Formats: sequence, C-alpha cells, structure tokens
Amino acid sequence: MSLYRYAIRRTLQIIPVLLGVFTLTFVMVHALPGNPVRIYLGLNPSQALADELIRRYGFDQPLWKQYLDYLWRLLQFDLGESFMRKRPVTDLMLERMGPTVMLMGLSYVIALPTALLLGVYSAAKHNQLGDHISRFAGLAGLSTPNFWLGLMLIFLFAYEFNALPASGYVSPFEDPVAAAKHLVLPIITLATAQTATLMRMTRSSMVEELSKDYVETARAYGLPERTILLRHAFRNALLPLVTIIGLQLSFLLDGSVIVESIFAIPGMGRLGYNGLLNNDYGVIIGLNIFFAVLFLVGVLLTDLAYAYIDPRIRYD
Amino acid sequence: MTDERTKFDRRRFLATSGLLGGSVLAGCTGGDGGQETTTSGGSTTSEESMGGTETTEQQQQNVQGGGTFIGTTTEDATTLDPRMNELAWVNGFLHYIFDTLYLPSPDGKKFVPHLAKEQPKQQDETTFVIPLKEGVTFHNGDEFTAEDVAYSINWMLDPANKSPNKANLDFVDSVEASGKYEATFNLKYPFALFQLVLSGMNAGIVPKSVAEERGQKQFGQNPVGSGPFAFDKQVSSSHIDLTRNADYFLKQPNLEKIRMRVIPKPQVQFVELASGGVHQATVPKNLLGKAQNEQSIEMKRISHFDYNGLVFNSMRKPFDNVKVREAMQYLVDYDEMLEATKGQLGKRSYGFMPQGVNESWEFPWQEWKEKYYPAKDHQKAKQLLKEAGYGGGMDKTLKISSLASSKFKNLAIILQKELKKVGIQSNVREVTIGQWLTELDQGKFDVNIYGWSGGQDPDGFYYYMFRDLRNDEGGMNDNVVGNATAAYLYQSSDSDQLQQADETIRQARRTNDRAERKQMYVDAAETWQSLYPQIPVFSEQAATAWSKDVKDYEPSAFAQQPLCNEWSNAYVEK
Repeated sequence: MSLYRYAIRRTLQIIPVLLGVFTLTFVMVHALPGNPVRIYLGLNPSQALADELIRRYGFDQPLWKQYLDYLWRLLQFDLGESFMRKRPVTDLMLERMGPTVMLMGLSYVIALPTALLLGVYSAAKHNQLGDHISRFAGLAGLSTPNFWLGLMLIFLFAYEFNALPASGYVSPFEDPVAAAKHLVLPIITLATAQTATLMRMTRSSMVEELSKDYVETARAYGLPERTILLRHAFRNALLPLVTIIGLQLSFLLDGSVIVESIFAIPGMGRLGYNGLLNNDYGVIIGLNIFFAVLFLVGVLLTDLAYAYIDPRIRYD
Repeated sequence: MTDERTKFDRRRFLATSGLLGGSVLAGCTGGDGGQETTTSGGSTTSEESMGGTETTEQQQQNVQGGGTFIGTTTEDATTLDPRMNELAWVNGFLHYIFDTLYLPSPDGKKFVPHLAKEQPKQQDETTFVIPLKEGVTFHNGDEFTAEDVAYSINWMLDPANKSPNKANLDFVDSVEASGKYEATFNLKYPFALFQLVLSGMNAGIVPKSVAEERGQKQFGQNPVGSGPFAFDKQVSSSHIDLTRNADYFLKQPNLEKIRMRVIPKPQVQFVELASGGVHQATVPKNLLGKAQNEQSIEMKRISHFDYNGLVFNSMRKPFDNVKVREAMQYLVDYDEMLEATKGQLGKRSYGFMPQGVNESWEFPWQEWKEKYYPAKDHQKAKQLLKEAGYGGGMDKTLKISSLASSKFKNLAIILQKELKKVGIQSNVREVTIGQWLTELDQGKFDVNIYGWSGGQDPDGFYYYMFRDLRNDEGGMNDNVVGNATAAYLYQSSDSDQLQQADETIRQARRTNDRAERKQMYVDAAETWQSLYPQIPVFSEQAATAWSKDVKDYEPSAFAQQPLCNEWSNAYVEK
C-alpha cells in the first residue's frame, strides 16, 4: 500500500474514533453531578427562572435526545454555545487558540532538541559524572510539579529580581520583545517535565543501541565516536522515540491547563478548566473534540514518520 | 497557598475579591460597616482617609494625563451587560461604565442621588417619583432620559428576557417615564430596600436606543453606558480596557485608561503589584507579611458582608435532634477555627450575619453571643449528646461536605477532629460546585459548609437563607428541598414558630420603619438561633493593596467606582 493510500485510510479511521470520543465525553459530562443551570444561578435562585433556563437549553430532554441533537449540530460543524458565556464555543476556542498553540509549540521546540542533546550526551557518558548529573536533572524535572515550578519561577524572576513579567500574554505579532519576555517563564515551566521525559527516553534508547554488536564493530573499524553516535546509533534509537514524541503532545495539553492558570495566559487550557468547573457542556465537549483531533493527527504524523526514519517499514 | 477556588467568588453566595470597584457585594446600605484598616510601609492605622487632601484644581495641575490604572481580578467577565450579569466583581467594575440612580456614600451611611436629581418623592405607599439629572449623556452622545430608566428596569422585569436580576427587582411592578426627566416607580408592595437596590448595578441604566439596536448579546460584548469610563475592548480571559469619558457629568476623570487584568492566582497578583506590573491586587493570607514590608504599596483590610458557617441537615439523624445541633456549638472553639482558617482576614459572626451588620443595626449580638455561642466544653457536648440518645456514640459515619476551597475545607477538618474526640466518626468530602449545590438542593449531607454574601442589610441574610421556599410564589419542585439553609428545618420539624419566623422576615422587607424592622429581625434571630440549624463562624475580610503611585484612591466596602466618583478622582503619578 502506498503511503498516500495509507494516509487516507488512517485519516478516515479518525472519524469513528472522534465519534467515540464525543460519545464518551457526552456521557461523562452528563454524569458529572450538578446541573449547569443550577451552577450558573448559584444558591437560592428563582425556581421559575431555573425551570425556564433548563427548558430553553434542552436540559429537561431525555439524554438520548440531547445526544442526537448535539451530534446533529456537530455534523454541521457547530460545537454549540457556552452556557456560562452565552457565546459560540467555536468563537471562544478560536480566540484562545493563539496563546495555547504558541505556548505548546515553543515549549516543544525547546524541549525536543534539548532533550535529544542531553539524552545522547548522557548515553555517551554512560555511568560517568555527566550521565549522573543529567539523570539527576531529568529526575528532578520529572518530579517537579508544574504549579510549584511556575510559582517559584515567578517569585524568583519577577518578584526577587524583577527581571521578567509575572503573568499575562502579548502576541508576538503585536510586540515581539514583550511577547518573548512574557513567554520565558511559562515555557520553562511547561518544557521542564517534557524535556526530562524525552531526555530519559533518549538516554535509555541510546544506551541500548550503543550496547549492540554493530556499534562494537563500527568502533573496531575505527569510525569516529561522533559518527557512531549520531549517524548510526542515534538513527536507530530514534524509532521508539518518535512514538513517545508524538504521544507527549497530550502531556503538553495537560500542562497548558496549569501553566495558563498560573501565568494568566488566556488560552484554551484555562477555558477548558473553567468549563469543567462549571459543567459548561459545550466548552468541555468542544475542547475534548479539538484536543482529540490534535492528538490523532499527532499519532498519524508519527506513524507516517516511521517510513521516513526507517525505509524498511512498509504500509502493507 | 490560599483558596484555589476564588473563581467561585462569582456569585453572591461566595462573593469576595476584586475590590477595584469598591463594594463587590450584593448591596450596601447604612451603617459603619466593618473596621477598615490601612497599612502603609509596615505601619497601621484604623483611620479611613476619604478622597485625599488635594483640591480638584490642584489635582488637575498634577495629573498630566492621569495615566492608566491597572487593576486585577481572578475571574473573567462573561458579559458586560448589567442587566444580565451575575458575577459579583463585574457588578463592581461595571460602575465605571454604567451609572445608577443613587450611590451609597463612601461610609455607606446614606444614598446620594447620582443619575437621580434628588431623593425619591413618595406619592403613596407604593408609588415613587424620581426626578432625573439633565444634561447627562451616554458614551455615544445620546442624552440620558427617563425613557432609559424605564426601559432598563422594565426589560429586566420582562420574564421573556430571563434576566437573572429579575428576582432582585421583583418588588417593582413597572417603571414609567412620567416626564422627560422624571421616572415613576410603581411597586407591588412597600419595599424597605428600594434605594439600596437602585444603587446597585443590578439596576444599572443602559441606553435604550443602543441596547435595542444591538440586541442583548452584542450589547454585553460591546456595552455603552454613561459612566466615567467608556468600554474600549475586552480580550477574553486576559483584560478589559476602558477609556476616559471626557464628558462625564460629574467631572472629567483624571485617569486616561483603566485596564482590568484577569490573573487567577492571588499570589501572582501580588507579585505583579510588588513588581509594578499592576496597581491593585488582593493579597492572600500567607503573603500579608511580605506585603506589609513593601514600601511601594498601601494595604487595607476591607470587610466583606458575607457569612460562612456550618449547616446541619435536620432532615437526617442525628441532626434532626436539636440537642445534637446544640452540642456542636460546645464541641469546637470557633475562635480557634477562625484563626486556623482565615487568620487576620476574618471576623467571628453571631446571629447568622456578619459582625458589620450586627454593629450597624445595633443588634443585641453580645447577648446572643452569651446565650447561643458558648465556649468550647466537651463535657457539656457529651451531656447533650447523651440526652439526645447518642451517649454511646453513633452507628454511622457523618458526612461533612466542603467545597474544594481551603477556607471551607479547614472548617470541615477541624470539626472532624473534634467529633472524633467525642467518639463520632466522620468523613470530610471535598465536592465540586455542582455536587455542593446538588447536595444542598436535595439534602444529601449531614454537615455542609456554607458561604453566602448578602450585603449590609439583614434582609440579604434572613430572607435568602431562612425563608420557607415552599411559601414562595410557585412553591418548590417536588425533587428539590431548596438550598436556602432553613429548608431542612422546615421540612423536618415545621411548626407555628417557624412559620411565624418565615412570615416575619417576609414582612420585614416590606416595612420601611427601621426600628420596626430591627425588632422583626431580632425576633426571627431568636427563633433561629434557639434551633441551631447552623453555626455561624466568620465573615471574611479582603486585604486590598494598591500602588502608592495611585493618588486620590481609597477603596472601601461601600464606595462604588472609587477611581472616579463624587468624592475622589484618582490618577497615576508619573
């Protein structure tokens, strides 16, 4: 099967997966205790108003009917309206997409090469001081919760040194310098755990490759260590790493919820978090579908990347 | 860490924070309110300085453009239309865009005509004529007239518009434009809180022509009012920008702009303030010491007119027995509970009201304190439990529900520890806001931690928390108990005494004579307190801090739009 046909087949497979994601999300949000109308109106609301809003938003309909109505709207690319904000979910997501994509993208762009570099270095210095330091740093990065790290960075760099802004977001298209200053701390926070995970994976994958016979043979032939590391071992170690790299995208999404809250970044993570707290069904379902699409595309690209990395792989 | 759930400040029942707009609470009326303390560079004074010392003329010379004031809030605004807004902090903030007919004075002791020209003229028991100021314009240049007043109020009263403010205005039958500059309010019944409601943003005046032309949703995103600042733009979850309304009818605002930033974490708000990123922030409890050492900021504790306490479910065993409920009073040292929960940022409550209300209404709270709020005494608690038939302990584990908020959770944990000492097992269950409301609605808990913000009138507490919802027009739905906290008592041990108390608090809001009202609330308070349906613990205070670069700015529990109102006109010193 050609790569082209494989890609089409995999893309079509996304549709039933998305239907599953929607169904699961729909069931789960409706299983959450509390009615969004009651949450919206708070304590001691007018019963008449509560009844009216429940009727108007269809919360009094049987669940199966609400499900079919929602699905029908979804098929027309209508994600519905945020109950709390009384605005289309699509508008809310589009407004917040920029900061989240920027934050996640830059974090990844920084985390990935750093992790690969440190991982390869650590493996090359296996069980030496450099390896120990890298492993310790990796463990520390993995063990440090985002919210703690974020707050500590704020206190250090914004409060003590007054060197960087503590919060907020500026679009790089408006003011690139201010944007960079605002993004430094959130990116470090988000990229730390990411770097640590990828670094440890790279290291273990590289250590495994470097222990194989072909590496010994290459060394016996007198190939430079640098060539063995980068041209031979690293390329072979990359295959399992690609899978992890694709899947790590979902962890970035998790992290963005916390980082956006701490650094007051008006992104999709915060939108989702607030939606979840308020049982804002439209927002939760909309974001879940969006993140599912993003994740599935990530997985698809990962699969397609295999062939590029290892030409022996065929899509039969 | 302070409360992670400040986002729940949004509704009246948990209103706190965001004191940029002065009073963010549901309403304020006469009285001296809570003690307010100003701290500057480590020294503390209890004196309240209102309005600064410079004259307006001197200020204008110093202003040089006025600058941009950057305030903070923890939560985004979902609409900027006062007719549809439910969020407490937004109500405070909207006073910069919209005006009301009256405003409370900075000390909260009187209502000052604002868009109104003078005090309401009473025609008969339920008809009030309010003359309006002439020459006031909206931001789009349209003249403010009685048509706008009638439209704004009648729009919210129209059930078709589903305004959440309708319940607050339900005492109004209709409003007529009886002249170009004269509005006539026809009430359904005499209402003691008439001016209080008209001074709140729940009765903000919108321009009829613009609101009709844009439609509610558009108007909520692009509002036009008559306030000292005009709406510029909103970046959702990030900030709202306002610009100076040079034609403001009171005076030209000194400040060029106001920016309200949404910063969810109070710790980060404080860092931004200390590092000069913003001009105002709410300081969390654990950073008070640091804030006091900051030379560049001033800080003030502002009392909230809220109430936080323990609610017992009297529809279930063991709390269906009044002796068990009374025993809970002896079980815990509630002063210690306050210390462990809010520390310096709280005040003990007595009589299901904040202390500020007790003091301003001169309720006999000292007497109540001695009679209903005795000191911790485990022996007495055990004796009461024994009399109630629980001398040998309980065969069930009590369920204590608390919102995932540190202030609420700490109350629950302290109670749990004390219960254990007398042999009663309990589980503390952290719940989401949805679970919490469902539990209260359906009575599925043993003890719940309750927070409510009712303003400075006793009605805000007694009517909302203690009336029998079954006696409301339309009654209650079958599957709902009702989360007014007295619902459990009514449905478990209804009595003539309880029904009398219900009638009293309903009558009190229709009685204009303050002395008569006071007696009614005292009578009702005696009834409720003797039944121990809940234990009041504390009302909160917010530590509001602001940069010393901001001049002529003094937030208080009462002052609406303190950046520019009749008494002040703030500016940022260059």
